[in-house]
Amino acid sequence: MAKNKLGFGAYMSIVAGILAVVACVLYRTVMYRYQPVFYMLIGAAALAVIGLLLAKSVPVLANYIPILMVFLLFSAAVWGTMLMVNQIGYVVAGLDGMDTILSYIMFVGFTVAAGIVALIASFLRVGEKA
Amino acid sequence: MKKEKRSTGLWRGLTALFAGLLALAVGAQSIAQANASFINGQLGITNYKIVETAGGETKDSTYYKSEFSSLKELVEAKVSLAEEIASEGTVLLKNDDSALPIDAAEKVTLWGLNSVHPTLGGRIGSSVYVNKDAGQVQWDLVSALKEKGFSLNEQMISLYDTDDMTKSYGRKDGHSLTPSFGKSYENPTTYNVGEAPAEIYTDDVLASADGTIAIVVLSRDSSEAADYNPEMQNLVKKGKEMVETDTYERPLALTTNEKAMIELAKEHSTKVIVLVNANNPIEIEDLKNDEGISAIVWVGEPGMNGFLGVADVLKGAVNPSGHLPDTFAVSSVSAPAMVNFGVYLYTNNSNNGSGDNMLTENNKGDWYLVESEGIYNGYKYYETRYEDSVIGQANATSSAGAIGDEWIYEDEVTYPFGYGLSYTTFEQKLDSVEVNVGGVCTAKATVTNTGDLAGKSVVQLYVQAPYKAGGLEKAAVQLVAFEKTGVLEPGASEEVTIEFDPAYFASYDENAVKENGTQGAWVLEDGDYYFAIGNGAHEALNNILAKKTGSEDSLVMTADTEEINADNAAVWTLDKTDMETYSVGVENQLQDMDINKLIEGTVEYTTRSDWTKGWTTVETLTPSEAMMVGLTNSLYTLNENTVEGGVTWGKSGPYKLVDALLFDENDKPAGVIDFDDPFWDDLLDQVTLDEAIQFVSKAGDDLENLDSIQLARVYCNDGPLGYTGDQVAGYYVRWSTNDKDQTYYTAEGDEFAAYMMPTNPTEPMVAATFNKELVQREGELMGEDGLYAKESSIYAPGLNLHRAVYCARNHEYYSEDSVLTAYMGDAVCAGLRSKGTMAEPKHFAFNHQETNRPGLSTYMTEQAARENELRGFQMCMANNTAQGIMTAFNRAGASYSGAYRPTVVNIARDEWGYMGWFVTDMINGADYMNWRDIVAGGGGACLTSSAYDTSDIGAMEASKSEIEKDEYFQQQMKQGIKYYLYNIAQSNAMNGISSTTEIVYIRTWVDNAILGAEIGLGILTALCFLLAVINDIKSGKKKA
Repeated sequence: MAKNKLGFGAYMSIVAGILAVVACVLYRTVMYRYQPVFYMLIGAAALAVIGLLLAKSVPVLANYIPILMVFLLFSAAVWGTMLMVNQIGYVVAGLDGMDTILSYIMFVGFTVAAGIVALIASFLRVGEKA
Repeated sequence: MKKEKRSTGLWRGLTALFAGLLALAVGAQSIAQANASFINGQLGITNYKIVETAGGETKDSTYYKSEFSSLKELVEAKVSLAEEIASEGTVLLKNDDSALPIDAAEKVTLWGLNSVHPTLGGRIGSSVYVNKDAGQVQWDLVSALKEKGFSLNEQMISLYDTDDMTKSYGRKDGHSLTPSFGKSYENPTTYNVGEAPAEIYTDDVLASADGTIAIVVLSRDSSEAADYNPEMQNLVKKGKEMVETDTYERPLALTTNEKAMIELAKEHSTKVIVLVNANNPIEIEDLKNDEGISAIVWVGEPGMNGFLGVADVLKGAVNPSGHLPDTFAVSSVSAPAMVNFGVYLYTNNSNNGSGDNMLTENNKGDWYLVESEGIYNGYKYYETRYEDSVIGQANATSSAGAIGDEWIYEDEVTYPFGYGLSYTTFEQKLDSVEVNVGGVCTAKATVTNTGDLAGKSVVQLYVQAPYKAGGLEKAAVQLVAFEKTGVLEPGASEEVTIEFDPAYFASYDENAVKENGTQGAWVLEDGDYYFAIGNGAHEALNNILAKKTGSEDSLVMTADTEEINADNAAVWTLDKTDMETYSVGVENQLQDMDINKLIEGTVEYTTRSDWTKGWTTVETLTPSEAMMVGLTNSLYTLNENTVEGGVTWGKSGPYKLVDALLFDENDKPAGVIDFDDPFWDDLLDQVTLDEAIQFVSKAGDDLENLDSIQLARVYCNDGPLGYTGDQVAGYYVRWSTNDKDQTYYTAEGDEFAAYMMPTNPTEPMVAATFNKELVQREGELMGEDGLYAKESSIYAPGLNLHRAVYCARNHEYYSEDSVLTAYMGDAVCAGLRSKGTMAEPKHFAFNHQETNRPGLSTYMTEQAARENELRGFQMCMANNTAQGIMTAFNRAGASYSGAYRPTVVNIARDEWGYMGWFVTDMINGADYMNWRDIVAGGGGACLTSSAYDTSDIGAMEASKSEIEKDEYFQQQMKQGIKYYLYNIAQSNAMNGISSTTEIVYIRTWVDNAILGAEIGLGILTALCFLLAVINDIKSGKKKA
């Protein structure tokens, strides 16, 4: 019996997972935080690892992992924004400094980047049957 | 096979794409819901409408009616009123050789870069917003002078009014201060005064000024969430570097560029008139003494229309009658209040390590402010020390706190509190003073215009209570009351009657023990009370000293225009100390605001018994265990308990809030059902716990409908100048087409619908009018705005005291004096109430510093707190002209002010009889401002942002089951709602609601659009997922 292989999507998922971890670290420095956002980001990173493991054993299932990652990562981006809406308003209105939302911007940047990478991964195969 | 694999990947990818978009849509829905009020407001939609029920008897439900027949009339009246306030609030300080008024035919040169960028108001809550696109006009100095017929030197204006000049030296729109909502561990360091150096003036430009009259503009700006600091530098960002474009000893002192510019103005002009465009007193002693300066005029920050009034004064169309609301000291740092102003950190602040006793970021408790000056704020310090220096008491002339080697009044004060000149002269004669302890007291004075021009005159009544050396601290002079005459023609007289209440000059004695054995009382000590009138506190005190000592020999006058007249002082003797009359229900409440009572010997307060004391900064402080309770947000914990009779929610019942309204025999509104009537309990029982939770969480911003009692959504916004433009961008914003049948419905298409409403001058200028009727009129027109803008309440006026001149928020507060503040506040609240718009003054209490205001611990003696800050709030709260009160960001002592029962309940409600409601300032995720402590402390409800909903202590809904077990807490919730309902029923919020109307919910198109997107994306996600799976199965079978 031939051994299953990792597809290019697996590598993309791992990149997305790493970006999610970075976003998670950055989120700790955001002014107003929402606890579930941490879980979403960690969940996305964990899914990348699970996808890697499944790719060798159940590749068909592994190929669906990036879909969940996309959902979690975009959810994290938007829920992480929810508490910052007012603060962004303050900065836009010139009432507070850009430094107060810098961490947020970086967090969103990394999260959206992770989401896009996971989205690309979803078009590709994470695992391939030999 | 490959094709199938490729299509599987495509369907998976599309599934991910649509799933991602679905995630965004779901999140967006939450954001939209959290900000529904803002979004709906911007879009002019609502999610409900009020409809008449079939078969009901319809009657006129416009309970509060406008005096205007159109919005146009209101808008025009507001501009006129602002002009009038500014003309009466302009203070003439110096006028050598009758330099003013100016003949408008003479050419005028405006000097100073800030003449084209004057400061009109503050930033954030008291910002001046104007909608030029809608045709609204903002009158700056140049346009106002031109409008009033002045001929201006255009060459000078052209020199100043360029982008390059503004960028190099100037201020953006009259502002340099930058508001910050963040935390500061250091004092602010930069402030750009905005003046250009002398090098910019070319020979041509200087020649253009020759032979003209110079109007020199000196300006400093104001802002919420910002402060000045004596150590600031005039740094301007040029490229990546900060460049020092000007120098000064202090930001409130004259700068090198200003001085040079003034010298040029003197050199090239026939006369020099200085306009002081600032609410924080600038150091102008040199200008006062400079013979080259003909006139000095304080114009404060006059708002969108105020320069029209200033121009009226300059040309003589209006005779100035304003008086200073603050002392102009020679040095802005000489007051004892400046000893402890700025950033001071607890030793266990969150930036200083970690451990069990450390404060955390969530506590927002790192900072403290010790008000070591005691009761000696503003003129109460300068004038009291002056008297003691005259009579040789208690080291008053020592160098401690003095500018020179010795404390000498004329070295310390440039213009005293209450000072102001006119183009004419008045003789004021104190005819009589009748004091009736426990009753109404009256003083009578005759005012005669002895000059050549018609004008108004202010009679200011001051008192000196008997001071016993080493005894209860007392100011040598304090304002008691005042009245303004009508316009007096030359030679005409008016008898002025001033009513006053001894409660407003009694002293608070923390050590007094009353007959009932409780400690702490309002005291009138036995002895001689001297009442005097005068042009300001200093002249009144001189009159008192002349009467008291029988001599004028050692008395000092601050200006040639001052007079000393012992006949303008009267003495009233109290034989026996009275500590009962004004102390019913009174006892010490604020002992834990005195840092010395918490940590012994922490601070040496300013005292009249030894003027060398009170000059030491409290550099460091380690909170005690008791203080940590308040500093760690732990004032109240939900617990299981019961109360007698239990607490009922959601009971089915027949009542609507509108049933509280009473009508006279002609069906005209006649108030509401008495607060203690069982009706209110029955009504409140109908409210559900969910609604109550929503009320506590959100009532400060926009309260959602309370369906159980048929209260439609109501709105409340800032601020002291009128509804601020960043919150309510015009009259039409709160209306939706669902309201089109309402009487004052303002359609977006109305010519004035998009006009901004903050049209009034800033509060110090309003206070300077010393005209209660005019200020009440200001309140009335703000109330009219409420009718046309569908706003039921306004967070105004600001009633905190001007404690330190370096507080950049002083523009939102009236004065350094609590009695002037009290009268002004009461007048504007009365005006608002008369129109059905609830006045909700702020920030209760002790908001004296903007830097680190969120959570700042503020310490002072109970005597100082009661006689100064709280007295400013007392009148409108005791009279219940104020129907709501916004609490402050800061802590009172170590406890959050919005949850501080001693002020909120024990003093406001129990001592003063305040019947309005309480709401917090904006809670933006700060856990020290939490609903548990607020409700339990009697603080009513929260003004929240979306960040609060999901903060650790913000999620009130999630704690519902715990709340249900705590009946005491629920009872407090009910009480807070009751006060609110009792007041909102007496507001314009009831317009359009009657016993025959009902609230009907409708979905907005925004709700439908988001839901449609969610459904669509959900279907697409599912469809793509299904196709991907089918493809996978197919390809699996083929492979097999």
